[in-house]
Amino acid sequence: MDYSALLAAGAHALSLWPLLSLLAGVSLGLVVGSIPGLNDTITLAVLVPITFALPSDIAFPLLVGVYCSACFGGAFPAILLKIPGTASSVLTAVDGHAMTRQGRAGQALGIATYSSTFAGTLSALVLIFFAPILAQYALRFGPAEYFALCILGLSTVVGMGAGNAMKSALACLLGLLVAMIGMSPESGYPRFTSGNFWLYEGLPLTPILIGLFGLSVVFEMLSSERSDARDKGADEVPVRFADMLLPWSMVRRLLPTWLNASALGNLVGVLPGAGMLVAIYMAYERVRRKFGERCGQGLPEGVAAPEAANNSVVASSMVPLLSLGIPGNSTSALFLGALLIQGLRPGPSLFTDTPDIAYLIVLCFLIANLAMFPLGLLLARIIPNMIRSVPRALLAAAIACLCFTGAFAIGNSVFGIMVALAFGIIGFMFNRLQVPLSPFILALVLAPVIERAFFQSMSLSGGSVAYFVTQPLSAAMLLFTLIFMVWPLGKLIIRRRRQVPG
Amino acid sequence: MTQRRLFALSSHWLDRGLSLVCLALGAGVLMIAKGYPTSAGALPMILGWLLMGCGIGLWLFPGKRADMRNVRIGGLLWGMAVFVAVLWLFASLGADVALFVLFVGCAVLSGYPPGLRLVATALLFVILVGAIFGGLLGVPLPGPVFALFSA
Repeated sequence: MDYSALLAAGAHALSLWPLLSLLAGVSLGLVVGSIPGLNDTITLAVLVPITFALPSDIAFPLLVGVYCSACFGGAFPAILLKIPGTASSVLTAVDGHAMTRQGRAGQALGIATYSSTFAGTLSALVLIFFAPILAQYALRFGPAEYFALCILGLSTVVGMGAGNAMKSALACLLGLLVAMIGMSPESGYPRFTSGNFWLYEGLPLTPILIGLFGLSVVFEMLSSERSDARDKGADEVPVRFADMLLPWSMVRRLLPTWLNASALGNLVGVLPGAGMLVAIYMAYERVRRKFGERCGQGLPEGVAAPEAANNSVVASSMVPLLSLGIPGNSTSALFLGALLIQGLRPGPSLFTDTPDIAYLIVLCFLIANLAMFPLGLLLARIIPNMIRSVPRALLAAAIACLCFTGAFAIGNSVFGIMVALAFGIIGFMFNRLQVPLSPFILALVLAPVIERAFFQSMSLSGGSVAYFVTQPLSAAMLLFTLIFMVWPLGKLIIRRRRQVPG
Repeated sequence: MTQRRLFALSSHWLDRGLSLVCLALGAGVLMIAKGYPTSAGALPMILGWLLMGCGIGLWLFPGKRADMRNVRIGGLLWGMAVFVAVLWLFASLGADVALFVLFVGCAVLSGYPPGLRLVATALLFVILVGAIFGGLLGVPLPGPVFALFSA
């Protein structure tokens, strides 16, 4: 690891504008995370086009700040109102709101803040020390290894994703299909373009992401019931600042849970495509097994485990993107878009070609997590009341305007808006039909890498497919791919056998 | 407000409908990719077959969670109409007029009462967007009002 670059990036990250940008990102993340229906991906989809005109050292702190704090922000309404602000705080609502009903809202918010900060910081350290090492190792990867790694990433997202594996596979295939539009990277032959000049260079990534994450939410808001129960029914819950500061005894009690959940979250986060929900459910399940029926009745560990797990996934999910150029989830795919817009090349060479920016990004994760603690404690009492006063109709209008502007600004053409609109409808249909978006995004991003690596491997091996299994690392990764692919089928068979009477 | 299904199908059959779309798409991809040279057509051919396999798999193992209930069809259709109109306005009159119409249209369709307050909010928001993109970030947006920020 280049310690001088790390120190220089640290000094730069703590200078005025990057730090202000980071703090603005953390505050924004806390606010959007606590608005049900909005999350980090939607915000980043809107922000990425805005950041392309900003210098890298201001753009990335802002994006990192939003990404780090949004899933923590989701805990506020989950605890106080039993409405998860983001999907990652679904389980926080169970014990968190039970604590609120028992008059311990302040303590629950304090636990969420401490847990998120602890796990997020630990995960940032994993990113700081693990990503450069992995990047250095990945410089030795050949096309066969890259091909196998991308296939492994796709199989993880299909095999380990929550819900119907067949739909995950379908999303994956559709992502690959959309990525095929345009000229073939191997021969330059136009595919699926229908002779349309705009399609020759393929569909632009950022407008696709704006459509899938931003406009699909607008479609959802336009097509859903107009009345807003959240605004009407929720009572204001008094929270004292002193209650949020945890005594040492509570910190000692929660420490094993934090460590357990952080380990799980980091492990899941590093795997491309595994997803945050997997980590949260695994961490909560461990607490449920340990505490039995007490879980769900306002148990502090029931808040600590999911909050620590979701925040530890955040930074560690950036490890595959920054070191291998492969996004770990949808949000890091947006980061990939931001890196490309800034003219940077994500992957092993990021740490050698542009160490200033690469180390700045990883250090921003650490600073953002540390900044989340005071800001979280400060804003925990303000944000939930603020959210109640924002009309959802104006929110939908504002998101739509920002999406249109962002999609236009990327290429300075209306074509970007058309793409965003088309994918907004696709995203809306995906949400309604319960087809997951992550495999689609991952496949879309990885398709060119897969195709290029496949043809390079073929030309290296003289056209022999056996080349992929004769390379030890590639063979190991393909073996894991097979396991992940067979896993859902195995689960289905076991479940069906259990359902058979007797 | 009338709540109804967008399609009168259960989640089970919605998935089967999706599987048919998948089969048709796979067949289409195979037909188109047949005309490509081998280097460009190899992956689309594999993809076409996989899509068809996935369609068969989804027909055999449909899920139970697809949900088209509680979709306000009117809101969705009007929303699409507003988006298409805004797209035309964006290209012909400029971003400022288009974004104003978009803001007002979306807010009204989402249930915000139309009136002077909405017009004022929309105007302020559009000016803010123009100032951020044109003035602060230096990204020129088309339109007579936004041109002032860029200048």
